[in-house]
Amino acid sequence: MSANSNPNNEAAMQELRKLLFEKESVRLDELEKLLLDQKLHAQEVAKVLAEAVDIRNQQDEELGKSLAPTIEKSIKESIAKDPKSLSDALFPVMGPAIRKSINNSIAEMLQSLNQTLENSFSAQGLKWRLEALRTGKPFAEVVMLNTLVYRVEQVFLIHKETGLLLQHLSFDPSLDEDADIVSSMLTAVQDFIHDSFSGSTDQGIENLRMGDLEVIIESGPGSVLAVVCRGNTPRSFNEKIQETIEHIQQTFNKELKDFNGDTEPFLGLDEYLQPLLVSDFKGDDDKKKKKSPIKAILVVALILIAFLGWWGLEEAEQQQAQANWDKYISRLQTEEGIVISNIQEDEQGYTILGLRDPLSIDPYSLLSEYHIDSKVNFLMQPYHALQEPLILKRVAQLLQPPKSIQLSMNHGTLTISGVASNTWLSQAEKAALYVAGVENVDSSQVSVLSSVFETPQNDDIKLDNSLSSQPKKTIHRNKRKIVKKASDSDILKRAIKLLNPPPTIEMIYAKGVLYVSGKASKSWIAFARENFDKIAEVESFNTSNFTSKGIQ
Amino acid sequence: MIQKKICVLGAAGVGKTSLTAQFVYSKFSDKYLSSMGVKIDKKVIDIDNTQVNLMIWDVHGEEKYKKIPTSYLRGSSGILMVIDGTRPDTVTVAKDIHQRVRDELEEVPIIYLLNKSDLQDAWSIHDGLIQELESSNRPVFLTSAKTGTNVENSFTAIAKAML
Ligand SMILES: Nc1nc2c(ncn2[C@@H]2O[C@H](COP(=O)(O)OP(=O)(O)OP(=O)(O)O)[C@@H](O)[C@H]2O)c(=O)[nH]1
Ligand SMILES: [Mg+2]
Repeated sequence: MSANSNPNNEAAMQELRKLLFEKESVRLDELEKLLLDQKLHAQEVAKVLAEAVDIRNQQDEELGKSLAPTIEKSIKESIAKDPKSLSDALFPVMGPAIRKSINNSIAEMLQSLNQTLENSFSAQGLKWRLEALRTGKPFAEVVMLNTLVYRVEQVFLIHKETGLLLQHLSFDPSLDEDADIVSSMLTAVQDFIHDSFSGSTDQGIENLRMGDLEVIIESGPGSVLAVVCRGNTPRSFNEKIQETIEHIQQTFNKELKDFNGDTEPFLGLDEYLQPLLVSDFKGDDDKKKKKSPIKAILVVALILIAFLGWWGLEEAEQQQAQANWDKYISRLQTEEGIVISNIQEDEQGYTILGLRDPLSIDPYSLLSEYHIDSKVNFLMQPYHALQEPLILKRVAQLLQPPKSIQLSMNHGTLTISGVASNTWLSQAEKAALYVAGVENVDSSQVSVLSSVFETPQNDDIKLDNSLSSQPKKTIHRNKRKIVKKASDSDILKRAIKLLNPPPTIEMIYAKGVLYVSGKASKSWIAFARENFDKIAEVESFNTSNFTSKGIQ
Repeated sequence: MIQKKICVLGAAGVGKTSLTAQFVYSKFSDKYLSSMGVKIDKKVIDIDNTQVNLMIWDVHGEEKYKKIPTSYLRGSSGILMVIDGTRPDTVTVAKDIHQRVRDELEEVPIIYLLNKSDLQDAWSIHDGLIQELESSNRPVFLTSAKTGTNVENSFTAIAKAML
């Protein structure tokens, strides 16, 4: 009997296998299914993929190499499709990364700058002093220029797409008014620059400079931060701006995207922007402090000493100059015939505006007396001053009095005293009244030399027509005295000596009258007429017996 | 307060600057100073009890070799498209710009202004155009920067359309 041929045996075997390998058989089925089913396969791979990549990467770099082209291609496709979304996504990562890489080079720069600063207070300090001397700039200014002082004047946070202002802070609140227009203009300018230089789309630092104002512009994907500074900002400040915009960008990402013109959601931005409103000295750098506090103190002390020294000297000089100038001006103000209406001062010097009587003292001539070497420019309108000394000068100019005459002014009255001829006196009395400021003329003190050539006059002169319109003005000559001190013969001697008559002439003097008779040349007669009144006490000149040689 | 950017566009010399000056400063000048780049003005107006700060971008005129840069259009909430009623060629230019605005900006209200309406004798736009514009759902205003006719209305209308 054979087991093979027995069907019962076969069934029994089957039974046995089932009993023995039941579990295995199920698992084999499962494995078979697993091998054939793609989906389940992927699920299995997914479970170990991360580990697998890890293991492979530790072994060699093949995986990276083989993946690279695929990744590159997909990134390219993604950028082509929507560059903005990618850069938006990358911005928070890229910003700090880029900064880090620039940081190294900036750090080097800072380092060397610090060194110059440190040295500067030994050799450099001297150099600056020389520079100050050479350029005429105050030493403090040279130090300031060299130590990079800056101040942040304004901070604008601008919505990038619309150019609308989200937030504005400023050092000087009066600048707030047109901040929104400035904000739009900045955007327009940026757009313009961008278009004109067919821009790279990179979002780097862009600066505008206007005089000593600098606008640092830093943009993120949805907003632009523009910071207006005076002076020179340190490199580290740019970083601060960058950090701020990144921070804002992260926190307000959604609000920036959904912005519809309503700035309400951005009110909280103040606290981000406020720290940017600073002013600083480069000298306060951290590194310096760490290195040597003593040195820092020394530096500050030196700056102070230098500054005070310069300031003290400069100040003393300035004070002296100012005092001289003040003295000069008050002198001018007391000077008659000068009226100062305005004094202007600029870099060129002074300009004095006002009125000046041409007879007053020349203000230029006084400058050197007061040690003033600034340039002084006078814009003076001529006028006639009514101060009595000037009236007197004008009267004297007009009347041309002989040396024997003194003039004085007192409360509108011109007093004429001394000795003069009748001719001069009566002319003078009239003419003086034409001078503004002369109200009355008092000639009662004058001793008059009379002349036979003159028509006899009443003691009280009637004013002629032209003067009668000024009735207030009067001439006092009623009390005129005739002085008679010398004897008659003395006077005659004096007359002969002065007039030196030719022998054909005979002269007699009696009671104030000089009698002349005889013949003489024309020229002597003229001479005698001119000069007889110079003989004191000669009141009249009698020529009844007088004939001119020339005529005869 | 709500801020909105609007652009005033059109061919050169149609009166963009004059319309803006009339609206913002109530001033008009016969002198023609061709604009360069863009000038920005602002005016706060009240629309249904909402204060709207209009930032008005007065852009230089579109010319063959001096097209309006698209960067100026970015972020606009409304467009005033100006045509000079005495110069039919400015219509073509306006339509050109209109197309570019459509490409650059998504749905943004555009209002057409037929300007210089005070120059009746030189008027050379036929009514057909107005009908054509209106039938394509574009509001049209007959304006004069000189007399001020409809100037305020146009700016208010565009502001309303934006809110
Ligand atoms: N009569 C009249 N003249 C106008 C009117 N509007 C503008 N003008 C005149 O048209 C000329 C051009 O006006 P602008 O406002 O400078 O034109 P624009 O569109 O700004 O010109 P561009 O800046 O060169 O594009 C000026 O001489 C204006 O005085 C108007 O309504 N009526
Ligand atoms: Mg213009």
